[in-house]
Amino acid sequence: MGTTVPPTKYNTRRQTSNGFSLFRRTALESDTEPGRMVLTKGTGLWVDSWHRLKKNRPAMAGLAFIIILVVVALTAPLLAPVSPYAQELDLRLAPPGTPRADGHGVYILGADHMGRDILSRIIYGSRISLAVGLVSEFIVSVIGITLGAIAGYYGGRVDNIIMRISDIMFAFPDLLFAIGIMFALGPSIFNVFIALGVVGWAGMARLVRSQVIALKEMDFVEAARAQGLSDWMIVTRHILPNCLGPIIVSISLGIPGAIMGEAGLSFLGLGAQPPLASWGSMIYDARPYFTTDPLFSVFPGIAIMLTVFAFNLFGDGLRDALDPRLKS
Amino acid sequence: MRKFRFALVLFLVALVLIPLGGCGQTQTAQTNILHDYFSQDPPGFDPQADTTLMIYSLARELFSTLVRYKGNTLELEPELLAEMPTISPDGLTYTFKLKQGVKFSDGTELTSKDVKFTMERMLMKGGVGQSPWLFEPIKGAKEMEDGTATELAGFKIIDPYTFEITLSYPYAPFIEYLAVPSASILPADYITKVGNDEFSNHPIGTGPFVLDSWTHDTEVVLKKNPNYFEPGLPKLDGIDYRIISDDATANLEFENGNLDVSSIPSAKFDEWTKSGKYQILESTPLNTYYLLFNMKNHALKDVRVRKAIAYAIDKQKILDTILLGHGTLATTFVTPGIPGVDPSKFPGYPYDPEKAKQLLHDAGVDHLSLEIWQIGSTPPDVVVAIQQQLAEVGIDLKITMMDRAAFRQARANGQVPMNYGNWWADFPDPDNYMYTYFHSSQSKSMSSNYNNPKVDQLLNEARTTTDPAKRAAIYQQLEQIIVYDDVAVVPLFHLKDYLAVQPDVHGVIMHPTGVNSYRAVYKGNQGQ
Amino acid sequence: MLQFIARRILATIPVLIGVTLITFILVNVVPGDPITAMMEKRADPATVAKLRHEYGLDAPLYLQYLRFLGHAVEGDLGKSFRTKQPVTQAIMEHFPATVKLAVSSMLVALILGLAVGIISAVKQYSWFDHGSMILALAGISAPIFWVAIMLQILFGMYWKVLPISGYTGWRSMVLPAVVLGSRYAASIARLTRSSLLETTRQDYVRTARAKGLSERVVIFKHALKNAIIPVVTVIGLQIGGLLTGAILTESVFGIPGLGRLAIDAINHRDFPLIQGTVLFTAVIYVLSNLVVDISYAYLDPRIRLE
Repeated sequence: MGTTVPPTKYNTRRQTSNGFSLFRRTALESDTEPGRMVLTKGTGLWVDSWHRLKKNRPAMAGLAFIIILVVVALTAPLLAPVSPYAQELDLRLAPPGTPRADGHGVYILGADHMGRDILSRIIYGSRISLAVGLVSEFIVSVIGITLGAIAGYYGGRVDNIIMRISDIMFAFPDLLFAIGIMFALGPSIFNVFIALGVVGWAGMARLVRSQVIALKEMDFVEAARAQGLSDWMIVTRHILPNCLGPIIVSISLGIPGAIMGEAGLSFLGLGAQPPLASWGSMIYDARPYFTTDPLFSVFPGIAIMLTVFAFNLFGDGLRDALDPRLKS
Repeated sequence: MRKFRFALVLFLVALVLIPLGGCGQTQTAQTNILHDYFSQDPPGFDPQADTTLMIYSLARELFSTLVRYKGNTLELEPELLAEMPTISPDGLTYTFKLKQGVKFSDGTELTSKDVKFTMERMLMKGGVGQSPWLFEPIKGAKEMEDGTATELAGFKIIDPYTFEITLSYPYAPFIEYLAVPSASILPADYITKVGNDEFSNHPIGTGPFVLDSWTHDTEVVLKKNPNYFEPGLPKLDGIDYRIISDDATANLEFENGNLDVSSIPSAKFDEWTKSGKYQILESTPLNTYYLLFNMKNHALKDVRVRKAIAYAIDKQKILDTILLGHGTLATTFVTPGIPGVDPSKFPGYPYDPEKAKQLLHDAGVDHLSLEIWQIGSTPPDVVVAIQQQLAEVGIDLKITMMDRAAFRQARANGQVPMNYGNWWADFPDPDNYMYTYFHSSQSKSMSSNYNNPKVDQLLNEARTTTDPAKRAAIYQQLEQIIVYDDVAVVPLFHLKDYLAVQPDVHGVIMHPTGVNSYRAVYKGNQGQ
Repeated sequence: MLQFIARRILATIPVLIGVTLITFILVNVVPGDPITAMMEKRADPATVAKLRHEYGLDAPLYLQYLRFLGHAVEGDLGKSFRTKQPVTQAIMEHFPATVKLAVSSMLVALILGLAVGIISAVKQYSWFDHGSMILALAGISAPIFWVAIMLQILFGMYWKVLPISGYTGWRSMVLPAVVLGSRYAASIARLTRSSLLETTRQDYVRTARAKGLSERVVIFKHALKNAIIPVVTVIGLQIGGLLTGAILTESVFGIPGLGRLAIDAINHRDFPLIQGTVLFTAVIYVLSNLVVDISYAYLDPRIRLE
């Protein structure tokens, strides 16, 4: 196996300099040892897990919030009182309850520094936060699972190269690397997806690799090999489905990390570009008004906090549900 | 158990200590030091090597120029000179007389050779000077920049306190150049001895203050220059500039009394002015905020499109709301207050969205996509408002943000399609605005790509005209062509500048060029 | 053991080369010329060309990179474009602030995290357990810069008990350390809890219990000793991460640390400074990982067999 990094149980986690993980989870690291959650006969355990999850009230609360959030994001144009871009410059920073100049009701949560409806912007902002979470975790998963599976399954030199590259990725401070990419690509929400995806894949690759290594020696894989199945079939049909648990946990805990990452980049002015409404950029916009109009920054801050909290609760519960040992 | 007890003790100690931290509070020592801040660490203190406002401000405190503006006016007075220079009738030869006994902070005297050294250093090929334009009108300057000469031919030392400068052509604004902080006179012997890098880190000058210490990214401390030539000045013992990169943090520090001076963020303007806690200084600086078009941009080629944009922007609304009414609407590109500018002769572009739509319709583009490039990471509120206002007449404006380095490069290459920018005059002359942006030899580097032979000819003519009335007439003609016939730029606002100062601080000079001076500042009742 | 350490050290070399290479590529891909960035208003082509030559930017890229590597091996990271200061000196000036912040936040994290984690495990399923774990989760769900600013307003502005920002003595470190440390405290608490719960189910702990030892002795004499191993490992890694500079915290509180240096360097396209800072943080990260792995191998001999 050469000089691979010893698979110490904890070196798959990645800590950012800021105390929150852009990607790979901090407090909530999927704590699974390779092979611990082997689901040789999928369904039984999935059903069991679901039953366990259902009993976890915080996790279900988190899930409920996530569902509501998804609905809000999908129906934003129906829910938002007005366009999130419409400016009423005469009503900049209007407090909550101020009637709109165009007669379309009142500013329920007030108006921002451009005279735009904060509530509408928060509603539209949910789309960006969810998109950031989903798209960047999608990129993370595609790169991470592919490379992790290849490294784990084939081992040897390929493994060595891939793991060396992931070592390099780990050696960069996350946020700094993401900032570097944002500078290279220019600030835009699309580039945020890319930056967060590129920064985060290494953790996923390591997770998948360790799972695959543990699984490939198992009887059912041997059996598949004996049947003469191709490597592709073995990995996609037999091995990966059995690592799904940890992968799902990792993704569900990576989404809040990405949402935080977007907020951090936006706070440095490198996130979504106006007039687009994102929660992170709303806090950035509100920064000069922190002391004079605190509510302006409080609302998007709460939106981020609740969303991240909900994902964390759910992901945490999911991990406990898929890994019955701790709670039994 | 021991471990647990240890942890518990630590925990309790921490619980006690953290609130205790509050007890030994607020040291704000009543020393005679002014507390100011910069938002970033300076690159060094060499006034020739950088052209940022930060370096200009530091140069005003550390060095002196031959002439300077009197107080906060635009009238020149001698600084290092004993009297204003005499100019030969042909406008070519200037004779200067230096004050005697002006000493650098290391004790050496400033003489004519330091002036010669300073100008040659700026022009020298391969040197550090970033503003050679200051001395370019001098005879022999070109040769120095090309490297074909090592001495400035047009500079003649007559005696240690007298020298003569000959220009290559009569050039009216030259005397104004000498007041720009980059033209500060530097110590020839010291720089020759220690080299440029050492000078930049440990400068010595003839200014009211000298550098005491510099802790990177933390603070720059200046102390009183005991050798300063103006009797009784400076009144302060020193200036402590903290480096605070976050504006909101700096504002909180000012509110807590830890800073004596602060610019006023628009969010705090009402609070700070109405509280009565601070002195609010106001100045009407020489600036123009504008929307500049790139004449080579395909979508902007039609003058009707450019005119439509000019009419589609509700300048008054933006000024009254986002900019809190702190300024005036611009009708000319050159800022009023500069000799020869008469804003009343020009109508400006009133807000008229219907006319804008009509113009676009006539140009055959009812729907148009345009790009504006801005410096920084998030667009200024004004641009976001313009984006919305243009959307209302059917123009889809895409804002592209670029960081400073990328923007500068794109602009130098003539690539920026449109830009909301501003120009703060280096010196009060229309040439500083118009030649820079619209002479065909310069226009690419400002991304205006404006090329009008008639304008070139008028600009050249104005440079060599000495009669003020004639010059004024030429520049008014230029305003008409550039702003109204060709609409190469839409002048938007001339904005005021405000400074909040703690009540016990007096004597800050806020100058229209944006470079403030602390040489006469005192705190409390001292020094009156 | 020595062989293991030697192998690990050798393995870091390609990582460091990779880090510098990626940084070099990224820096050169970023639009914007560092020379133009240095010159504010007027950048005439002749001066730009002259400066490019002076800084070796006119050389072919591969040559620039090899030059950098060659000098880096000798400990020379070049001179900053902007300040002309040697990069190593700039890093050494900024590192102490980062170390101070790292150490003080880790102190906060340890005190809070271990205490809460142990109590939660001992009182599993109690209100304290549920409450503190949910609170920990909620706490790390708020953006750190947001929390930082809220605390600045409360402690610095309304109550005026702590400095809002700056780097002037230990008092100015309290808020940043609490903001940053509480994040890590949350993860340490959760890990301590789960690790302790896991060990208490091990046979030897059951044996200890069966022997009739008091619960206290069982937990603190037997279980904690083993439960603490993974916690120590994570703390080691976290310190490694902290030592590379906390960009957001440093920027809100105006602490002149490595994160600040790196951001400024990127903003000014200060190539040597970017390269140097990234290389330095990578070295720190790799070294701290190495220390953690070695200590882990020492604590858990199974690792070495790998």
